[in-house]
This record gives sequence, structure tokens and C-alpha cells, in this order.
Amino acid sequence: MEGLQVVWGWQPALYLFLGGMGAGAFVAAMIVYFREGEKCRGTAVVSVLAAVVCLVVGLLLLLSELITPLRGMMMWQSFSNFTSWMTFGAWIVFAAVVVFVLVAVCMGKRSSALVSKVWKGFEGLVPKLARILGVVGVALGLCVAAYTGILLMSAPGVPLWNTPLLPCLFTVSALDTGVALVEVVAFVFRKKEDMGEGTAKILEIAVVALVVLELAVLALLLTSMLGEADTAVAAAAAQSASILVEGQLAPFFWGLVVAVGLALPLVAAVLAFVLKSKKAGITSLVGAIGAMVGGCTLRFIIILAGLHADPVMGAVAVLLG
Amino acid sequence: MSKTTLLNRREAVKMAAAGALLAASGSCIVVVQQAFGDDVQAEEEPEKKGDVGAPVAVNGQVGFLVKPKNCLNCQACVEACRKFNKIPDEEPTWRRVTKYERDGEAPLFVSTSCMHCADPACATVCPAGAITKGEAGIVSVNPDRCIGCKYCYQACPFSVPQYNSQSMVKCDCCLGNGVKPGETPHCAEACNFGALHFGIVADLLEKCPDAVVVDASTAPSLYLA
Ligand code: SF4
Ligand code: SF4
Ligand code: SF4
Repeated sequence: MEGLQVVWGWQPALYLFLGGMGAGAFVAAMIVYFREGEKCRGTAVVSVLAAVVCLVVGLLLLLSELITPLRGMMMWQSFSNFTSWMTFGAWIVFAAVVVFVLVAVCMGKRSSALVSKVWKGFEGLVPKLARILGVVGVALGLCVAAYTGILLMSAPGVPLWNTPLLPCLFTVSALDTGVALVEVVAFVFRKKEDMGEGTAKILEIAVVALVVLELAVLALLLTSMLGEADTAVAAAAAQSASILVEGQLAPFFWGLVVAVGLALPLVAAVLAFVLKSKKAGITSLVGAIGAMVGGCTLRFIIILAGLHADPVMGAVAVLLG
Repeated sequence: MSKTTLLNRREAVKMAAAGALLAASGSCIVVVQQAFGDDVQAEEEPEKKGDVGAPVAVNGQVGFLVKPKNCLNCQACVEACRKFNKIPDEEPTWRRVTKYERDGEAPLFVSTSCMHCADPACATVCPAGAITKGEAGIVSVNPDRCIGCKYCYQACPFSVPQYNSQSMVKCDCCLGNGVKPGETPHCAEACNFGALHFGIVADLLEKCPDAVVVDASTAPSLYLA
């Protein structure tokens, strides 16, 4: 691990991955639910619950990384400075968890029946409520997905992170892994619930579009970092990028992020598109798992390659003329 | 790239002796000794970068002026920081001396700690609001509020924040050990070779108008000469 960023360990990396995937999964689950309705209720509810688990585990991981987790749990004090993106993020994730749970309650058969017992008017409200909360949840989900990247972007000490391309990359990857999670759930439910051809196609097209977009953003990010370095910041950026593409993290970058996480899902989605529905299930499952592995690896290697610049060195050079 | 080196004690003593001789001959020292009274007011007016030598109100931002060519890496500043802030041996000090290699010439040493930036990114990103920029522009952390998320380390362009088992720790211009805002702290006091100066930035620049400002997005109060 020599020469890598290790002040933040595996917990923040996993937090950013789970946060993004959970957020993306909610968005994808809403697409399924609002297109298929009753027919895919199980897939949608379980996907939303999976999203909740991702976010809650993510928050717990964040807490476990703290020096004083107990103090961290007093959120009104420990996340009270609103010039910090970590503050916004913690509250947005918190709000997302609440809204996602409410959506799951509205969507679930037993849960909504239970609520109807104590609140008579609930049943009539369910369709409207699910729709409104669903839209709010999608908005929050997109915010969470973007926030996982903005958190890193707003750390000016690390040139690799300090670019708007990073939130772009993480948002796209969040949606991509989210769709993957819903595909896994749909695979589990394939015997009970038959997802309509149209919706399955939408998900496959989403995978193709997101993978292509992610490849483009990734290429843009890395090429903007590599190359001539005339300042300390540019030098650190170049060093970070070269660790990823040709240095000690290169096997993970090319093998797990590019091959398993992007190329494999792309091929799987195209295959699923042309194959008959039975075999399509397995191919999308393989692609989905690949996307998750790639998305998780991406967060880890971006965190690890986040080196600091040394601006003092630049001043020393100026001093010496 | 830079490399931090710690000399062993014997080498350090030898260097100190050599330096003391030099000092005695009075050839290389310009000790900027500022005795600032209690009347230093809180003033957060950021020093503009490149504002070299411009007349500024006396009670402004404090900062450090480092003269690498005078530095022998004797570690007196580092040890003074450890001693007066009671930093345990197993924890790193808040000041460090970084070695910069040069082609064909002796390496340069630069003593740094927190730069008490005009626009401190550490304070901006701290979710708990544990970091504040206070009197004389000194940036300090409240250990009772810090949750130890280490976001400040990622935000600081100089990798300054460090962590012990309770909270983030870093240089506070010795406020924590009783030095008043604006008064010369122990590290600068300990330097025998005129390599580390402390004072109001405007005053430092008046004495040393050619000083090079260290450039970073946070507008650090660190100058090299
Ligand atoms: S040097 Fe780093 S820790 Fe010190 S004030 Fe500037 S940003 Fe904060
Ligand atoms: S480690 Fe402490 S001081 Fe630093 S950003 Fe987190 S809460 Fe603030
Ligand atoms: S000013 Fe005080 S706390 Fe800061 S580096 Fe010097 S001795 Fe340490």
C-alpha cells in the first residue's frame, strides 16, 4: 500500500459504493414499479428494501470509520456545519432512507393493509402517496448518487478527486450498479413475476447507455489528469492517474473496472437484447454481477489513488529561480 | 518528490554546533522578533495572494516565513512543538521538516506546520464545525466537537491534519499551551538559525518583500525566502 492514500480506509470506499448503488437501485425500482405496477410488486418492493439496506449499512460504515462514533451519532451536532458536503450528504442519505422506507410501506401488500387498520383513509391514498413519495425518492436518490462524488470533489487537497468529472463518474456508476441490483432481484423473482418485455428492454438499454457514458467520463477524467505537469497539483493528478492505468492499481482498473465492470455488462446487455427471454435472464444476471464488482472496485481504487499534491515544492522551485 | 528525513541525535547535535558557530559570526541571521501585545484583535480579513509588501493593518493575519537556506534540519522547532504541546513520543508532531533534493547541490530543508490559511478548506469541509478561524487568523480545532471523520485531511492541500485517539490534532500557533494570539510561538522561538519566523504577514513581508508565497487554493499564510 506504499504510495497510496490510506487515511481513509475501506469503510468510506464501501460507503460511497453502497450509497450510490442503493440510490440507483431505488430509481431503477421505481421505473419497474411505475411501468409494471401490480405485476412486479415483489421485485419492486424487494429492490427498494435492498436500497434501504445499502444506505443504512453505508451510514453505519461511515460511523464506524469515525474516531468517536458515539459523538457522530448525535447527528444534529456532528453534522451541523452546512458549508460541508459531508453534512449535506449525511442528511440527504438520512432523508432518502426515510422516504424509501415509506415508499416500501405504501407498495407492500401486508404493510399497507397494516397501516390501513390504524389509519382508515390510508387505503384510498396509497396510489397517490406512492406516486408522490416515489418522485421525491427518485429526486433524493439522484442527489445521493451525485453526492457520493461531490464529497470527494470538494476535497481540494486531492487533485484526482477535485474535478466535476468525479461526481459525473460516480453518478453514472451509481445508476449502473443500481440497475444491476434490480436485475439481480428480478432474476430471483423470475418464476413468480414476469417482467414485461418492454421494461426488461428499458433496463438493458439503460445498461448500454450508462456503460458507454461511464467509459466516456472515465476516459475524459484520466486523460485530463495525465500528461504535462507544470504545477504541483498537476503533478499529483498525473501521478494518481498513472497509478490507476499503469501503476500498482492497474490490474484492478483494467481487469475489474473496465473488463468485468463495463465490458462484460455491455456484452451481456446486448446479448440479452437479442436472445430469447429464458437465456436472457442468466446473461443479464452475469452482467449485473459484473457491474457491481466493477462499481465497487472503482470506489476503492479512486479512494486509494487519491494522492495529495505538495504545493510547498512549487514555492521552493520559484525560490531557487 | 519530497522526502521527510529525521536525522539521528548525534548528527543533529553536530549540525546544531556548526550552526551555532555560524550564528555567532552573525553572518546569516535576521531574526524577526515581534513582541505583540494583547491588543491583537480578531480580524479575518484574508490576505490577498500576491499582495506582497502592501501596507495592511497591524492586527491582521499571522503566518510563518521560512528561510530554507538557513535551515540545518536540527529539529529544534519540531522538538519544541512536541515539548510545549506535550505530544507523546508515539504521536507525530505538528511541525515537520521536509527535505527537498537538488541536483548537484546540498538538499534544502523546509519546516512547516499548519499554514493558517485565509480560506481554510479544513474548516469548510468539517461537518461538525469543529475547526474555526479565530483571533489573528489562527485556525484551531475543538477536540470536543471533532468526530474524527478525517475529511479535513483530504481537504487540506498540505496534508496537515493528523489524528490521535481522540480527535484531529494540528498546530494552533501554541494557543493551547498558553501563547497569546500573535505572540511568537515556541517553534519559531526555538530556531537558532533564523530559518523560521513568525509574525503578522504584512510585517513579515515588509521586512522581506521578495518572499515567495506558497500557492494553493486555500491562500496559505506561508512564505519562503
Ligand atoms: S494548512 Fe490545512 S489545516 Fe491548516 S488552515 Fe490551511 S487547510 Fe486548514
Ligand atoms: S476529523 Fe474532526 S476536525 Fe476534521 S473534518 Fe472531521 S470532525 Fe472536523
Ligand atoms: S506554533 Fe506551536 S503548535 Fe504550531 S508548530 Fe509551532 S510549536 Fe507547534
